Amino acid sequence: MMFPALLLITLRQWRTHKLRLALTTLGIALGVAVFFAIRTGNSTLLDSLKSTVEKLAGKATLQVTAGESGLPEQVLETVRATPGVRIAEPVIEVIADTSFGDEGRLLVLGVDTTGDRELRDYQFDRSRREIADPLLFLAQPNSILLSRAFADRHSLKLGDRLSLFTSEGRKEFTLRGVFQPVGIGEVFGGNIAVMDVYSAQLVFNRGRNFDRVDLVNSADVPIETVQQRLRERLPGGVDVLRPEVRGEALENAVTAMRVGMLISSFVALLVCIYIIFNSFTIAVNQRWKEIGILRAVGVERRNIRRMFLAEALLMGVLGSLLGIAGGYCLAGAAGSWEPLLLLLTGSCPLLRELPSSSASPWPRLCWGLPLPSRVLGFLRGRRHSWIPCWHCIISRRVKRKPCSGGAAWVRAGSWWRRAWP
Amino acid sequence: MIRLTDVSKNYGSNRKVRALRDVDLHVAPGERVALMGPSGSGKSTLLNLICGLDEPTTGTVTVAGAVLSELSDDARTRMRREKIGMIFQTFNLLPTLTALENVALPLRLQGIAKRETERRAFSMLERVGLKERATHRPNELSGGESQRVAIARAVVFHPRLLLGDEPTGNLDSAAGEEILGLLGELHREQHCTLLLVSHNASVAGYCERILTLRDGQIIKEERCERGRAESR
Repeated sequence: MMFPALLLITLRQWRTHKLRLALTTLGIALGVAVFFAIRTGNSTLLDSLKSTVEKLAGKATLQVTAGESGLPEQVLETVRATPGVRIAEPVIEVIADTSFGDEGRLLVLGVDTTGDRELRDYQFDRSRREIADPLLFLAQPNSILLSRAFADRHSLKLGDRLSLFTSEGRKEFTLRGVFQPVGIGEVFGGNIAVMDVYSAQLVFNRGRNFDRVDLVNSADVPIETVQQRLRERLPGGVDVLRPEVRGEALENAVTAMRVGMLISSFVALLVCIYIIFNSFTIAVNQRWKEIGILRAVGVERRNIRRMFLAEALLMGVLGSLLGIAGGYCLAGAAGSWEPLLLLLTGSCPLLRELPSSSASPWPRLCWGLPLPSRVLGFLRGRRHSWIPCWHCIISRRVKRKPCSGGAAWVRAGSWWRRAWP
Repeated sequence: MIRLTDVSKNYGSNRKVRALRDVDLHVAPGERVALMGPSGSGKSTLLNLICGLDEPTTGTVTVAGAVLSELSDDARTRMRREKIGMIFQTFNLLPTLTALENVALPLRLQGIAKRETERRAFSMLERVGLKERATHRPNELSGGESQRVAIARAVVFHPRLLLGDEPTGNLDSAAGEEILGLLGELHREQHCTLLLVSHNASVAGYCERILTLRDGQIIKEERCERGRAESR
């Protein structure tokens, strides 16, 4: 019934104290923006990891690995000879720096380009005849294929030389072909190169080892059966895993970073809550006398509380909307974190994509973020609605007995109030 | 209209400060009463008890037939909103609202439509001679003008009881006389009960009965002929 009158008082307060309103809203917006950006960044990271693992694995249903030491070539023969294995292809993976300073790192995938096309999706640019000479590609160990995106970014043409820096030192390659940005070409925003697996053994000093064997089981044999057979046949120290399990392992590898980012986001939210609480403490202390007058002219305690709650809600919604918009921009700028992520995770991809809408935390954030300001507004309003109103309306007592209770928050609020212009 | 029976009020952590001691008081409807006494005699405490802003330590306070100690806080607040008008020494206008909005506030709190509240508030401002100051904020008004706005706010909803706590305390003597004259006129028009607290002797001249309070007790009660004539 009296809500319009109290709303008028609130709006007039805001008009009178524009700076305080702006700073409070900005505080909420900043906290929300950082929280939103980090949550979105985390979602982006996980989505990209999953997507990358899926694209790199292609149609593979199982992957055979043996850690850093790699797998001897004989393992490939054993895998191929195992009943139930339809295709088995070797892989060598190397992360290399390029001579393009702003490009970051490139994933070089050594595969058997003839057999591997059954496993992974390569679309060579036939229309522009840029898979020049397959025979030459295989014959020359320094031959390399690049994604269309990477080649276009650096205006690389067939026959051009490309320097890569690996743990083995600088390596020179010649561009022999370009593949389309679909399937594996999409991985890492196009920062991927493909070369012959046996040439990769030579160039990257792998000896007669592979990093991994990807395989597809026969349709009539269950994956679990093939996995069991391989484990029985392969030597100790060799893992036979589903690609998604490898994806989970990668997720675990970045868990520490994700947790760190999550903690940072909560710290940002705590700062936001501190700003809101302090701001409401200042506001309520400044409006001490007003509360007393309202109580004297017949406003119930619960309506005083509602007034502050409504103010907190309005500020929370406004600040959160600004924060979500700001957070989305910040999350967009998170593309610049790619080199850092690659550096931190070693094998982690260069992220270029924003998260899919399914991973967006929008709905939960939209409803949840104004909550802290509402809670704090309620607490402040509740506390002050219980102050006997004659303390407020008789000016000499206000001077003698300001905000009782002695809580550190209130003292901090009083200090701010004095410092306030 | 007002009945206090054996009312005492103690303050302090051990309730050692006795602001009021066994006060008995009866004010009839429509009566004009002045409560006089030096500072610290318990005048404002008595007023706070009557308007339900505070509760007595012992005794009962009855206003308009309701025993205040038996009412909930919300019920006492509702009674203030609907039946009691209050005027303060420091005016206590809301600084962010205009004079018109301040006067309209009690009506709006009662849920009356905005247009009607503005019409009645403007009419009341006109009655107290501040029609031209309707859109001014309290910091743009003089002390006398602010008190007239406060009076307009207190009487705009035709309260049955009008309480004044040192209504002329912050004003010079001319403005004070003007305010007392206005209060007298409004009392005659609205037939409300008027209880004024003051240590200013000139206030007494506008009331029918004068009570003198000292050390928390009513020590003297006298009739004032001028006040009786004024009220007629």
